Amino acid sequence: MLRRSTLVHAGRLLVLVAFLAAWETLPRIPVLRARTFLDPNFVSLPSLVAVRLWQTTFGSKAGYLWVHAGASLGAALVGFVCGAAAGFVMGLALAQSTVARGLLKPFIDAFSAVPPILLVPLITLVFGLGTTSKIATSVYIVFFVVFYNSYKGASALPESMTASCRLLGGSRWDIMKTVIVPSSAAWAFAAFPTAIGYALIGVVVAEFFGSPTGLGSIIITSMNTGSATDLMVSILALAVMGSGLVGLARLAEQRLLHWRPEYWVA
Amino acid sequence: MGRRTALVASRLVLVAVILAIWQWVPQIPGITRWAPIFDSFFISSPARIAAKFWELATTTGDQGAVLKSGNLFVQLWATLWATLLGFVVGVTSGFLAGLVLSQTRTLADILNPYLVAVNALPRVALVPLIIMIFGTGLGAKVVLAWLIVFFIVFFNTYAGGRALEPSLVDSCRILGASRRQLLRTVVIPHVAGWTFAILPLAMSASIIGVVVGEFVGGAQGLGYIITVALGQLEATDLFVALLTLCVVAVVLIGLATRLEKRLLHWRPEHVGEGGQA
Repeated sequence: MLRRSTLVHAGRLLVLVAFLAAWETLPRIPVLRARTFLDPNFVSLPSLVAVRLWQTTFGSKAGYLWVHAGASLGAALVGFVCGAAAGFVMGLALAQSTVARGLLKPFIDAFSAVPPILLVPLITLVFGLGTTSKIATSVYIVFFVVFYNSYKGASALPESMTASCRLLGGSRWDIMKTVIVPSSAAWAFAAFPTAIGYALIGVVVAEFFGSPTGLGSIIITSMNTGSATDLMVSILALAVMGSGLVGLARLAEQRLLHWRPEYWVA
Repeated sequence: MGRRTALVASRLVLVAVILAIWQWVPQIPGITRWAPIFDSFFISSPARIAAKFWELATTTGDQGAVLKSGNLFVQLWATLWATLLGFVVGVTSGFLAGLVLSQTRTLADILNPYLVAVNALPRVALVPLIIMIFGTGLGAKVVLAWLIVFFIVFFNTYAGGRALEPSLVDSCRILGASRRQLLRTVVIPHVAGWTFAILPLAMSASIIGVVVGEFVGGAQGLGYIITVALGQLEATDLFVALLTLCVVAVVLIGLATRLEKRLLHWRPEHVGEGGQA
């Protein structure tokens, strides 16, 4: 009898092979090609995708994919930094000031109720078709994600902690510096993997609206020219970049958060 | 004056100030040289947007390049219908797939690395691919919404199925429950709780799928109107369609949240990992 782990590994390999084989052969069958969407013009073929991927990364057209991926990545990162900074400061401020909270929180809640992707055309209208729009989209998306986390981190502190600090003679500024900001920062950090993933999606959708560079732009160009292979390659590149970014953010979070309150209190 | 009244009053003042800036600052001569954003050609004005809404609501006939009387409702309906269909199909199929896969361990183990890979893929990037394959009609939009909703619902349902306490299942077995009874009285209610908990997010995903589809390759719908308005630089039309869309989105997500609360009043919240557009 087979061992279970062998069965699972064999099964995984089989699924992969079956999927690639089906993708490679089915679109070549004339009946399917005529009747269904299984047409190389729509879904391309794994072999074509592999060749194109090689060409656009290291082969004859090297640089093509790097330039566009770099443009998307740059916009997402710049937007991420600005949005995270703004969200963090705002979260901290609203957690501290009752007046600011009462005045602004309802508006932030109202804006966050609308999925940010829907506002991309408005951002494009105001900021144009270039890099500014992409960065603005990324800032907008990241702001909300980080804001809510840092707000929670700054306001969800146990009363006993701030009371103890005051008892030990800490000024308001001391408490802010040593208790509230670190707690809020830890919560904000925890939101970074999600935020960076969303930022990249936002940038790509912003690029759908006629941007000259970026992965979103080549995705749309491929759709309009009916080039399924290019489309697959750019989607693949985006998926790899997205998981890489989120993975890195997770890693950074684990590295940096070992000083999290839970750890240094004990 | 009470604190509460003061707060509400200051909020209203804030709104009024923002509307006033939006309305009158672009009228200051030469302002666009200092702040290009204050160009009413791009940001329209509250008065024009309100007038457009009034026009659409009260008169008939052709009005302007994009939005015609009655047209707004036709477009709204197209978006709404696709969103709801995609939501229902996505939630149902995601629930069933999550339920089945969480109960068959070997199959789940085999598919796991692929599920992780698919979950990491930004689904919005697949929109152009689907449009290339299925075109721009209602069917394509439903497929788009389904694609995004399915994975969100599936991953949460699956997580719920995996989180089912073995001791609970064992106790039921000891008490003599058959596999069918176990499924009906323990597994399905438990897993459904996790599916219900994700309904608001699924609704939001459905709207995103449909509207991004309309942005990219629409033939009708509010997203399409917005894209056309953007292309023709009709800022007022864009704001009218966008505001309508925002209201639709907020109402739909609100309804989904109420549905969740209604269905889940008997248990605490359950939201697992993995849920992105």
